[in-house]
Amino acid sequence: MVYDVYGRPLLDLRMSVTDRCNFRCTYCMPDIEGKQYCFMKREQLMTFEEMERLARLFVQLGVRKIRLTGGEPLLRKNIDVLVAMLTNIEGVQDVALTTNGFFLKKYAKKLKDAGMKRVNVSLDALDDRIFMKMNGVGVCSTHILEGIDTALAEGLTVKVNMVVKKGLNDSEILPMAYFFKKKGITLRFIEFMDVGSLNGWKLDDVVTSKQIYDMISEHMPLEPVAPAHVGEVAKRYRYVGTDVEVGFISSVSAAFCSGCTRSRLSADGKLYTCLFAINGTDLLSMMRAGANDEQLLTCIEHVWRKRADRYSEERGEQTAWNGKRIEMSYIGG
Amino acid sequence: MKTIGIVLAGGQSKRFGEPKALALRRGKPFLFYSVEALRPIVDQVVVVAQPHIQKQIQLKDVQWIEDVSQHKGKGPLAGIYSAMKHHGATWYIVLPCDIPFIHETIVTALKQQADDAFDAIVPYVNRRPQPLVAIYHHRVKSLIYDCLQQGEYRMYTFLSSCRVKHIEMKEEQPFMNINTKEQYYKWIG
Repeated sequence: MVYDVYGRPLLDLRMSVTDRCNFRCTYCMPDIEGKQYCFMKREQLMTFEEMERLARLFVQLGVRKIRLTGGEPLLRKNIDVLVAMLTNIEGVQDVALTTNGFFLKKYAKKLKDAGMKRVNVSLDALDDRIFMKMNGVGVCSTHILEGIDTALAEGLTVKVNMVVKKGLNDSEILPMAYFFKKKGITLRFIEFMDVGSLNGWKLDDVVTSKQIYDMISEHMPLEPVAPAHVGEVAKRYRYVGTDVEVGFISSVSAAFCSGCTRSRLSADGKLYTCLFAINGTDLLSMMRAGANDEQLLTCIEHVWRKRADRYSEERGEQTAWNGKRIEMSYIGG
Repeated sequence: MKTIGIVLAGGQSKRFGEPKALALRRGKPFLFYSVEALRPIVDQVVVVAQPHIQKQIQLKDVQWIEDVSQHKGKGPLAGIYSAMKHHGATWYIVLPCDIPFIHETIVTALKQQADDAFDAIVPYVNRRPQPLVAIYHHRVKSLIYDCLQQGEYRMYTFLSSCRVKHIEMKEEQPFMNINTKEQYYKWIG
């Protein structure tokens, strides 16, 4: 196991498989008039073989869980092939995926067959007027719910993630909670974060986990659930009298940097040690220049050992940072 | 590198009231202008239209097809997909059938911008994208298929997930499309 400056072990790997997305969510890849997203060229992207090789090296260093992100990961062609390659790596306990759910209907079976057990689906509202506004491309929530149902029918465990932004979708907190409680699906509320430089974050736009907790528990009593493992980002609760859970990811109001065990790889093969990082280590260029496994391992280990990021804790109550920063759609949350 | 020209003539022309493909400018059906703008530049022109349009028009060296049955009449994405399915090529230059001021130079300029690093080459006129006068790489076929299977027929949603090369174009008239009789009388007479 490798530990960083603050003694945090490297346990998780989040791999972005594409920076392309078919949604334009306001908090991630907003559809700003005149703004053209120049997605990466294909040759800049890691191939499946390159991703598998890096994943194997991360696993050698202690990583147990891999999560595929994007952009929208299901836009990467034949993603199920990659999933199968990753689940076959010895030592990998879990390969999961975070998706907007749009293409889940098509891919659920393929993912399951490739060895995937869980998917997280981002869904920010049930009310279509709100959801269509948030996803920026006018997709209806029923579309996503059908994807979720397909995933469940294929035997995948589904969690739903909802980013809450004040004045935009906070009216959907209760409807979402009722709906997914009834469906028996874990819903997790994520505080609107100041990732990237495009989403116009203000602290005022944040509805805190505490506020959401209060809203829900007023109608449906909640009891805490003990954390299942180290570095769990969501504070978990259960609706009293059921085994349905609800989670709170308090990235802003109660930063969890001290327990962060995540490494992040962008689709162009750069290693980042924080969602709010500015610079990454270009592992893909090293690989393509002929680095051997030993050299890559040394490099990754070195990067992790000197990791000292704890952005969200340092930010505190301050307004978002104004400088250069990577975008959420680039690193996949 | 094989290039196919696709003319989309499968629309219902609801606002126009009669098939736009057959409306005349200087005695020639609108459809001809699109076909003629493509013909010198592509290896094959494919027109996506319903059979009753084909019956009323004589065009040499043109392949006529209909939308694939599952997605019949579902708009431009269905038309582009149907043409891609029937005819293999590297690039597809798409034109609608209702832009009677289009000419070859526009299509030539577009084709010169074809770049394998991108999925689509889309002109911008007056800061507005023109995705129906654009070039698509054959690799987008599976993405279009996925969209259609999801019941997602909007060009905009499809394009939002493509690597798009934007080409600024100055001339407006070649892109002007005629949707209503009012526009027809105003611009064509």
